[in-house]
Amino acid sequence: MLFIAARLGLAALTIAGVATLVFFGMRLIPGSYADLFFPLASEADREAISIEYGLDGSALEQYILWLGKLLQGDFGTSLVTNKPVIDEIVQRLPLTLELGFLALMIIAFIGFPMGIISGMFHKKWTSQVGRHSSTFLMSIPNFVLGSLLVYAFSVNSLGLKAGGWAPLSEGLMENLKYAILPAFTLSITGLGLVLATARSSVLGVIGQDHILAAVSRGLSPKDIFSKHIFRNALIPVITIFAIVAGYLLGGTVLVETVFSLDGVGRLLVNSITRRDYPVVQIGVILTATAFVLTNTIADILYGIIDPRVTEKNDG
Amino acid sequence: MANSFSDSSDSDTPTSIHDSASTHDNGHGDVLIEDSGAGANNPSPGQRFTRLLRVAGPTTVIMVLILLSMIFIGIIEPYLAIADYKNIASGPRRSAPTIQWLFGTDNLGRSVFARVLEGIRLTFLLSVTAVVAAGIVGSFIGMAAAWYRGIFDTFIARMADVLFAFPSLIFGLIISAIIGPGSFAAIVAIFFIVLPTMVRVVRGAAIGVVNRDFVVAAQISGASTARILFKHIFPNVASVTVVQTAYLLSIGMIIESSLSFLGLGVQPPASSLGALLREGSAFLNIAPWMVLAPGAVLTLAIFCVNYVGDAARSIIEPAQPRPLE
Amino acid sequence: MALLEAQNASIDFWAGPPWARRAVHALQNVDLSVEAGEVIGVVGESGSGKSTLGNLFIGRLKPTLGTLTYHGKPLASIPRRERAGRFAAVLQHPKWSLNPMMKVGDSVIEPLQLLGKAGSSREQQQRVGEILERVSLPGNYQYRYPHELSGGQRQRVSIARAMITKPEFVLFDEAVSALDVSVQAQVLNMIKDLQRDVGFSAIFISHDLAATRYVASRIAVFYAGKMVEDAPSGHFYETASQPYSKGLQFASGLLDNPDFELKLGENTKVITGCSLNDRCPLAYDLCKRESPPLRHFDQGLRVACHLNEE
Repeated sequence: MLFIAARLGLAALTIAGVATLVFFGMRLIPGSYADLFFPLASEADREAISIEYGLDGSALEQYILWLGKLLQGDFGTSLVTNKPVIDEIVQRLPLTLELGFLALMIIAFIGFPMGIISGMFHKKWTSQVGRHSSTFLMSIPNFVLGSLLVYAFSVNSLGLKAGGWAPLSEGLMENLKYAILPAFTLSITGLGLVLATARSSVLGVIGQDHILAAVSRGLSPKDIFSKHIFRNALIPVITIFAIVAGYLLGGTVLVETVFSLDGVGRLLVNSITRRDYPVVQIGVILTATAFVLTNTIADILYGIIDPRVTEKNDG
Repeated sequence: MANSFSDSSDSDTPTSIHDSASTHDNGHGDVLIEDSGAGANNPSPGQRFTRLLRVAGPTTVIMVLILLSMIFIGIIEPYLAIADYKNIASGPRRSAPTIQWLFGTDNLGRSVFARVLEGIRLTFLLSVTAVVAAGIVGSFIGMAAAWYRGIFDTFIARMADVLFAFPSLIFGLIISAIIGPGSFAAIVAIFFIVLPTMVRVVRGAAIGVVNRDFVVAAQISGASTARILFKHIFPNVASVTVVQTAYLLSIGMIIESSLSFLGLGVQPPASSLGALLREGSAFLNIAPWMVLAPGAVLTLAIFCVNYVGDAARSIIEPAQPRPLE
Repeated sequence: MALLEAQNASIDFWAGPPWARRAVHALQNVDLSVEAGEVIGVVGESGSGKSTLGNLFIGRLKPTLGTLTYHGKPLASIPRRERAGRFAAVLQHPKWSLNPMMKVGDSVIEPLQLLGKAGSSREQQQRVGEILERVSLPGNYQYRYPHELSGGQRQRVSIARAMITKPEFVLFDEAVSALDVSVQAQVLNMIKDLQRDVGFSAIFISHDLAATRYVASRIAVFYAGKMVEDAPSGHFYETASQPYSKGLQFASGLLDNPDFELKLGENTKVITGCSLNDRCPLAYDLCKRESPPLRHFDQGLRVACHLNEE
C-alpha cells in the first residue's frame, strides 16, 4: 500500500512539474495574444485586453492565480473561441480516445501475437522476418505512413476513407471506415516495439533450463506455452507499455494533421500558433497525466507481478 | 571476461572488445576464481576488423554502407552540380520521375532528387548535432548523478520524469515558438527530448561502476572527483553512451522531420526531408512523387540507423540472453 | 601517538524505501587504534560491520558519532591532497580491482602521478617494472590490459599499485578471499614480506581466520557492528575468550574440539541484551537482559562477554 501511495505521490509531483514547465514555456513565447490578434490596437486597448483575459501582472502572479483556479477545478476559457477550455477538449476527446483505443487493440492483437510467433519459431524464416519487420515498423515516421495511405486509398479506396470522420453515432461500420486507417497509422511505432519486445523475451525464455526441463518432463506444448512462454513474454511488454502509451499520445498530433481530423492533438498544435495559453496548458497537463498514470499503473502492475520491486530501495 | 559469456552460442564473440559496464550484472559480477583467462591474445587491428565483420554479418555491413554513403552524399552534396536544390524552373513543373529527373520535379520545377539529397544532409546534420550534444551533456549529468547520489540525484531523476511526461512533439512546438522556427529550434528541441533518456541510461550504467574496487582504490590514492569521473568511470560507460546515441539518433531524425512536417522546423528555401513531405502533401494527388520520394528516403535512413544501432548493441553488449541458434 | 585511532565511533546507515526509512547501526561505539607498523586482523561474518570499519579507517565513511583521528587530528579535516599517497587499499574482487580500460602499468603508476612524483615516462616504466617484479610478475605485464591477466595476477597488481607510494596505512579488505588456496598462500607471503620491508600499518579484513593468523599481530572480532574481542594474535589463537571467537575458529577448522559450537547463520535481528544471546549455547539470563561492556585485561586483551567477568 505504501508503495502505491509513494508511486502516486511521485506521479502528482511529475504532473505539477509539467504544469509549471508548460506555463512558463508558453509565457516565454515572444508576441502576446494582443499583439497577435489585435495588431492595430492602441497601447491602452492592449492593456485592457490583457486585463480582460487575465494576462496582466508578472508571470509569477499569473502562475499562482492560474494554479489556484486549476486546483479548484476551473480550467479557464479559450482566448480564441471564448468557450471553456474543458468544452473545447471534451468535444474532441472521443475522436482521439477512439484512435488511441483502436491503435492499442491493433498492437495487442496483431503485434503481440506476431512477436510471440516470431520468437517461438526462431530457427525459421519467421524469426528473421519478425526481427527485420519490427525494426522497419519502428523506422517509419507515422506521418510518412499516413501520407502514403492517404495517397494509396485516394487511388483505390477499397471502401475505406483516408481523411474526414464519422462519429460513432452514425453507426459502427461507418465510423470504422474512417477510423481504421488513422488508427493503424497511429499504432505503427508501438506495433514494432511490442513485436520486438515480445519476440526477444520469448527467445530469452525458450532456451532457458526450466523450459528444457519442462520439455523433458513431457509437459504438453500447450502447457509449456501458457505456463511459461506466454507469461514470460507478457511481463516485459507490460514494462514497455508506458513507452507505447507515449508513442500513441505523441502520435495523435501528426496523425490528426495528416488525416485532417479535428482531435485533441491538432487542437493543441493550432492553439500553440494562436497563443491560446489556457488550451495548451490544460491540453499538455491532461496528456502528461494520461502518460504518468499509465506509467504508474504499469509500475504497480509490475510490482504485483514481481514483488521484489516493492522492496527495492531506489533513490 | 572472455569466459564469462563463452556459454552463449556465438563462439566467435570478439574478445577484443572490452567488457562494457552494462547496467545488468547477469550474475557475472561475483565471478570468483578465474585463473584460466591469463592467455595473452593480442590480435592485430586487421584481424580485429575481419572478426568484427564476421560477427556483424553481411546485412549489417550493407546497412552501414548505405548509411555511410548517405552521410557522404550529404557532405559533398553542396559541391555537386546536380544538386542545386534552389534552382527554380530548371525543369518542367511537376514532371513525373524520368531518367533526367530521377525523383521527378516539384511545383516550381526543381529536381526532387536534388532536394532530397539536401534534405538528407539537413536531417542528419541537425539530428546528429543535437543527439551528440545530448550524449555529451547527458553523460556528464548521468555520471554526476550516479557519483553524488543524494539530493542531486533525486532532483535529476525528477527533472527527467517531467521531461519524459511532457508530450515531446508539443514540447518541440513550444520551443520552436519561443526561439522562432528553424534549424536551431529543431536542434534545441531534439536535444531536450532525448536528454532524459541519455541521462537515465548513463546513470544506470555508472551506478554499476562507481563502487567498483578500482574506483575506490583511486579515491583512496587521492584522485579528484573530476579525474575519477573522466579517467575511471567514463571509459567504462562510453560503450553504453555510444549505443544509446545510435538509438537516439533515429528518434532525433523522427522528431526533426515531424517538426519540419508541421512547418515549425527547417524553413524554406532550406529543406529537410520532413519539410519536403510537408510541401509535397499539398500536391499529393497530382504529384505523389513529391511525398513518396522523401518519405521513402527518410524511412530508409531511419531504418539503417536503427539496424546499425541494434548491431552495435549486440556486438558491444553481448550479455543479453541469446537464442540457441 | 597512534597512527589511526577510532574513539567511540559509530556509523549508521539509512536503509529501506523513502517512506519506511530505518537506521541500521553498521558500527557501534568502536574504540580501536592502529599503531605504526602494526597489522590488525579484523574477522567476523558478513554483515558484522568489518567492511564498514575498513571504510572508516580509510576515510571513505565519516563516523556518525565519535571520532577517527590520524596522528591525533580528525581524518576528515585533512585535505585530500595531504592524504594522497599515505593511504592505499587492496580490495576484494580481482575482476574489478583494476580499471578494465587502462593498461596495468597506468593503473599501477596512478597513485604516484597523483602525488606528482611519477617522473618521466621512462622513469615511470622503470618503476612500474621494478614494483611488478617485487610482486613476482614480469615487468612487461605493465603493457597488458587487466582482462589478459588471471585473478591472482590482478590481485598482485593491486598490491603493487598500493605499495608504489610506500603508504603509511593499507586496507586489505578480503584481499585474498577470491583466490585459489595455493595462490592465496603466495599472496599472503608477499604481503608479509612487503609489510616487513615497507613497514606500513594495515587493517586486514577477512572471514578466513587462518589467513588472518598469518599476517596479523592483533585480532579484532566483530559481531553485528560491535567489537566483541580484541586480542594479541598469539593469545587469540591459543585461548580465545569469546564464545563467538571460538565458534569462528571452529568454523575455520582451527579448533578441533570446541567447548561449544555456534550455530552459524544470518544475523539481522535486533535483540536486547548481548547481541549473541540467541545463538550462544552458553547464554544465561543476564545475557538476555544486558549487553556486556568491553572489559580490559592484561596484554591489551579486551573482551565483551558476561562469562569473562569474574
